[in-house]
Amino acid sequence: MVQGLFNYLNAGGMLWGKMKNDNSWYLKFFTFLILAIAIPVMFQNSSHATVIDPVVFLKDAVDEIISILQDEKLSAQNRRVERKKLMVAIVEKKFDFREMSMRALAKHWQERNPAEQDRFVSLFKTLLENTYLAKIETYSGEKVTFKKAALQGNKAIVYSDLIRKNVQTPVNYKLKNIDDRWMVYDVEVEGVSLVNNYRTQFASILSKENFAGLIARLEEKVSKGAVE
Amino acid sequence: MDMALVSDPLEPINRIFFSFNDKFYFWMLKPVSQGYAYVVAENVRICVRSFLKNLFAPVRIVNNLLQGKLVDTGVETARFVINSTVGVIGLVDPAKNEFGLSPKEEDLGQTLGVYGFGAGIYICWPFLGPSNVRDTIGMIGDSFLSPVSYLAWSDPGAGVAIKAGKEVNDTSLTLGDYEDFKESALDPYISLRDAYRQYRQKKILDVAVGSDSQYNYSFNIGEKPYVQELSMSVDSVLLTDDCLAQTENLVDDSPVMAMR
Repeated sequence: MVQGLFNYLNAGGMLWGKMKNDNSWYLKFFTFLILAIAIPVMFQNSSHATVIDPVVFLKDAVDEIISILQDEKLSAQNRRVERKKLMVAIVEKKFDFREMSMRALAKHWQERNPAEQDRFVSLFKTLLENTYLAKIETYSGEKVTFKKAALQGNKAIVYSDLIRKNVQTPVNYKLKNIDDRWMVYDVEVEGVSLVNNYRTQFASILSKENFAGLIARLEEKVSKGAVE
Repeated sequence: MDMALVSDPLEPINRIFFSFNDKFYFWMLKPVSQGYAYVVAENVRICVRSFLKNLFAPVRIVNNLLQGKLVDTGVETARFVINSTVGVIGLVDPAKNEFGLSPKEEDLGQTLGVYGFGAGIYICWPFLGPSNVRDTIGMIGDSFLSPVSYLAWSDPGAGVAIKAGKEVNDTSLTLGDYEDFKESALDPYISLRDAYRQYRQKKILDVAVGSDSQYNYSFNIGEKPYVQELSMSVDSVLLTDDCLAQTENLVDDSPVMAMR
């Protein structure tokens, strides 16, 4: 389409050029001006069309996890590890653990070198997976209802309810759009932000111990979780 | 910066009460609740919980009124009338299930917060758990609206029995939650203190939940999932007023983001 427009304008330019040779520079300029405006507009339209609704994005994740939990072949005791790996793979596509780690460490993040940051992200990710995926596996009869989403800039909140034994618990997902893909960077249960809660804990530990102490505590916690 | 969010000069004593409550849960409350859950069917326990919740309707009605939430006052009053009659003295919740009237949880601690009272220092009470000065005052005030308190004044034994029964019944329906919470925390004391602060703050600001739904996807975990689709286009995603407060909060809640 862009090429077509270019050809059309060039043709126009040639025609005009035949009539008024002196002014051909003006037409070339004009062509480029139109292209300069047209290209971003066209690309913007196409990128808008590909942005997925954050609710649809989360719904897909829930769908995938439910289908894994319902797969009777995978529920056998000897295939538990495999099942967990499949769920971890889904969660990794949808949750930005690096962003979560950055936010949870806050000012302490900048003070760490890249290797320490990577180590922290990996431990924090494993801690969250151990505790929350284990919880999902115990679910039965719970219901998830996605209610609505609010967008602002490249961020979104998706409001949902978890209904369990007649009790409704609001669960809000905070997402960030990175390269047209949504990534969850925080979860709020009953208004309690997971990342803020860990931030307070990390800050409290780091006020008494050094970073190595925090890493050691995380390692201990993660290794305990893996045994179960 | 995060340390200043909660004033906790009593931390050494609070930590003692925290571990007391922890032991109390694992040694008393949990085994008793498990035994109770084994004997009493889950449906019955849910009914007992509804019944007790209905008894505390005066607390919610008055506090909605004190906060000037006239519609919610009406909703809570209607819930009380419907559930006490059609709902057989509050055993079931037809107000929500049939009429779509969800409970509007308000207490005096929240009312004081709306009036501008600060939380005060953090207190972890034995048996009662996390609180603060404002919410403790609120709890005492609310007890004047609770029929259980009046019973306790005339017959302290019966009052304690009801309190204990309520605790066991509630715990029997949430067994495992406390274990999960402890499992996820690096420092459970700090985690609970912060969770309480965030929870109460959101309750006071009423931003934890958005109001009406634009989407209605439902999933039943463990059963065959079904998906309902009401409105789906990206156009339907609009920033509504009640979300705005929270979205703003989310944009500037992390100083780290500035460096990206």
